[in-house]
Amino acid sequence: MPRGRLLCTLGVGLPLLLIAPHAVTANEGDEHADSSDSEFDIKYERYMLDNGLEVILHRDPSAPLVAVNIWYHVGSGDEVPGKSGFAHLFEHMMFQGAKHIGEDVHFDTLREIGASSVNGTTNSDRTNYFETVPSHEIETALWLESDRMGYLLDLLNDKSLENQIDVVRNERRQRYDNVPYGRERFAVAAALYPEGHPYRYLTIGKHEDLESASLDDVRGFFERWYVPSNATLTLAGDFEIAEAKALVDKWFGSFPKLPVPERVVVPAPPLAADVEVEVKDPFARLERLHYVWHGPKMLGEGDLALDVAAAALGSEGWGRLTKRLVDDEKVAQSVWVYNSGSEFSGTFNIVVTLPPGETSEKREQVAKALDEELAKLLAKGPSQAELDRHVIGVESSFIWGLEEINGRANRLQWFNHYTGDPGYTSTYLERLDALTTDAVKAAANEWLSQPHALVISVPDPEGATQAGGQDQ
Amino acid sequence: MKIRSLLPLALALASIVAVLACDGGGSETQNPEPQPAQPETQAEVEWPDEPFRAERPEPKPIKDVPIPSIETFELDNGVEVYLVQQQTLPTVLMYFNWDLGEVDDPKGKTGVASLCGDLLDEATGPKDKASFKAAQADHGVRVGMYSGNEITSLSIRALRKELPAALDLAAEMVMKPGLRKDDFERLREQEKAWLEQRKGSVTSIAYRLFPSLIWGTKHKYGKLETAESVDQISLGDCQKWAKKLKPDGARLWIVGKISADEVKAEFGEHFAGWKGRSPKRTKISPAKPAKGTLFFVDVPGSAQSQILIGHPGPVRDAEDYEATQLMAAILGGSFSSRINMNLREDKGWAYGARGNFSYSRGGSYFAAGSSVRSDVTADAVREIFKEIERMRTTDPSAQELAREQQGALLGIPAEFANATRTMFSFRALTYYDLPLDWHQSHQDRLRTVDIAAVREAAQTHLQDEDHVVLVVGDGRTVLDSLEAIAAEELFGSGGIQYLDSDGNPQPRPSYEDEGEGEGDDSAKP
Repeated sequence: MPRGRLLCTLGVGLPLLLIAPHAVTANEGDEHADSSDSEFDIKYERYMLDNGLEVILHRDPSAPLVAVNIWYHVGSGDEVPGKSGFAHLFEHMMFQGAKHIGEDVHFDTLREIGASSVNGTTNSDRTNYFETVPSHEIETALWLESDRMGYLLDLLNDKSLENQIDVVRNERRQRYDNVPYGRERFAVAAALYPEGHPYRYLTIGKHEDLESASLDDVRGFFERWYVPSNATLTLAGDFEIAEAKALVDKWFGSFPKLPVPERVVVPAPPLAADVEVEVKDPFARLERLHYVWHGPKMLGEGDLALDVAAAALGSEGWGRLTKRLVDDEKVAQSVWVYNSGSEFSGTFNIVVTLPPGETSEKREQVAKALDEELAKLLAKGPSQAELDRHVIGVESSFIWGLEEINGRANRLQWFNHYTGDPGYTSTYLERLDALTTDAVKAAANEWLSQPHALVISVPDPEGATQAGGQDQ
Repeated sequence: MKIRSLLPLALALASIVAVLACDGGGSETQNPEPQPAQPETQAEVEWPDEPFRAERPEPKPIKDVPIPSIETFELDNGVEVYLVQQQTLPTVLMYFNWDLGEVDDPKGKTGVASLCGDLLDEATGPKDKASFKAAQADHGVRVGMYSGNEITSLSIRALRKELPAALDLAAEMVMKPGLRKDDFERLREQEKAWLEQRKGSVTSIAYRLFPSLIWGTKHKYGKLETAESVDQISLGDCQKWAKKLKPDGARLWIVGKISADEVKAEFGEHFAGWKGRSPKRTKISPAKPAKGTLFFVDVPGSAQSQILIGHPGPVRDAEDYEATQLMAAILGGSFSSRINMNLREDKGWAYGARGNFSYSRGGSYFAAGSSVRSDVTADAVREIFKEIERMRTTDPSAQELAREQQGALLGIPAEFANATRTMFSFRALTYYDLPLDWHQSHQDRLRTVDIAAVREAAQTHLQDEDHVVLVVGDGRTVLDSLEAIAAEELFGSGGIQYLDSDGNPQPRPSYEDEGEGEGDDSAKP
């Protein structure tokens, strides 16, 4: 749908600017300035513009800097078949310029004002853009962000799209196609998610889909997903609250109210039986076994409990599998266990790297250790000491994460995105404290007694020529 | 609704928004949650285009930057303490630094510092690995030993209330090290396996080999750790190595919610009886000039080639450091730099490309590089050379200089944005023996850099020949065109040398099975 011609705005907020430069939510924003004295909390105020843009302000004048951090609630999980990789390609296009700022000057402008931490990232659930600027230049950052939210399509052209398709395909080569275990990542996704599921081709996407992206795709995606009502802007740092609100109003307040795009949740069907896949890897020198189960979605029921299971199995030194395979039996070079949730569903992963040399016996030893250690965990759960270690570790990391303003901005965004509550930290820690060894045992039984996939990366330097350029 | 004094702004906005004429009523706007609108009304929406959007906003006056202060004092055992206090978070982060690293490894035993550092990290005398790591996790603290090229570092990270527990564990690490034979042998095998892993992909091969090509394998910065050198290391080497970690002359960096008196008290208690001289710093000789050579490592089937091009550079305390910094920034220092804008944004050959000076205590080297699509490897080498040559032989634009000069000045506050960053900024200064107030004069020198100074720095510190060129990639695709570059002596007269992934000279790879004709036009998908 073309933008630009004036008819009438949907929303009716603009006239209200006269009396309410920022329309706050009905409960007068969420004022959290003095709500708690917990050492974990980040003080913030959240409100919403008439057009639906959500704003979170966190004031901290201790250094003359402002972290500007905007999340669009769209990611590769929202892609449709044939368009894999598009959310991320689109993120690249957001740096190519917009009507008023000009073409390909986003980075230059920020460089000139001494900005740091300038980037954008895409995952399955959201796309974020951020920069930390000296506080006297806060408005320039808002100018840049508002211009690409409002006027990206004005400068959109074939040349820049073709260029960024090349760049993103280079990114895929550099980070997936040309490195050890890049093929494994695709194989794991292919084992877990059926054709048509948006998680199947990872956020980076297929080369052929990237190649076929068109200007119409960019326009359509922008108009559907990059509307003010699908974004959350967080400012953290050195500003006065009233001043920040006025600036947000100036740059974003007159944007129209557009429909909040509906996300389609795509559930991951369970595995019917165990799957085993061998992948030849021209760039790995060490064989690697990647066991993976479906897991709970991010912050869903069981998510925190499975983090404990991962710690009990995979922590350095005291993790059950790590100790047994790496330190005692010495059949593994490393063991890495992690639980990872996304918006629709998650995964539980055990990744075992083997030493060089003959591996068939070691594979069996690993499989045996996994069977036995998982059986023990499922039968008895973790020990109280294992659970306690995990809890104090997470609590500490929450405190350490408070020092950087961009870290604070991200935490507010992160919780806001997944729970609707930027101040979810306290709830999160309550959930963490409420965990029991029995709860961990129950979650482990629910998820880890299900069928799993095993992807084996086999080093194959000689086979490299055949594999060269092979695309998923 | 909050009352705010923003009427002038609101009026200004409203007066230029033509949609005021649209009658829509006001009720919906108070909805706390955005409502999906009806699709049919979405057909045409108005995006305002107020005149103020056309211009970059005027910045507010620049604020003064309060640089947090640093306290320096000495402990009774001779440790030099650098303390940056903060009172906002209940955390303490410490780094013991010794002048000890790979540069001090005995001849033929490159890897001692790295392996022995890992061994000390692993366990202590009283605690085996599992209990040592569990003890840290029980308190949510981290105590780690890491040895790099020139510095060995013992890090201690704890919430303030857990600091005593962390210090006990750290004291155990240096005063009663574990040094178990079983741990040592396991770690030595693992070290060799990780080295093997680094021979698999183009980027890890290139970054492993490049310093040895710049400095030479005999130079302390150019020594290469290999399976053979690791095999020469014994547990006895680590026992000797561990004895060097003594307090007198070691530097202790601290940032956190802790005072100088508390530091003294904590160390008196937890490190009681710790004595002795820390190692003296090893002297580093300058790099010897080399004949420009193109080195090639074959990784069949590689979708991209890793390119690195460079040569030795100036010392860190050179008088024209700021001009060199701005020059390198224009050439390759950021996204906006010439090399990146050329290879990525113009040509679309790479995900990113950069060039910069890497400083150590004993000098620096310049390196420009990128991971590029295989079929454009030689073209990318030529483009990087063009950019280096253009930097040397023409003036930068006023715009480029302004961008980097303003940016460097305005970017200084971010280096002191919080106590931890402040500590790291100061620590970097002392590594180079620069004074702690260096940033004051640095700002002044940055301001005086002009176009001529940048040009001068380029002519002085970028070489017109005798570059070390390293390309790691798929020989079948890239070799013919690289040999053409070598024949032209684009980078010097040293020709081309073929290396294996450990840097050993090799005969030219041959591709007879596939026939010769395929070479140049077999672009990979």
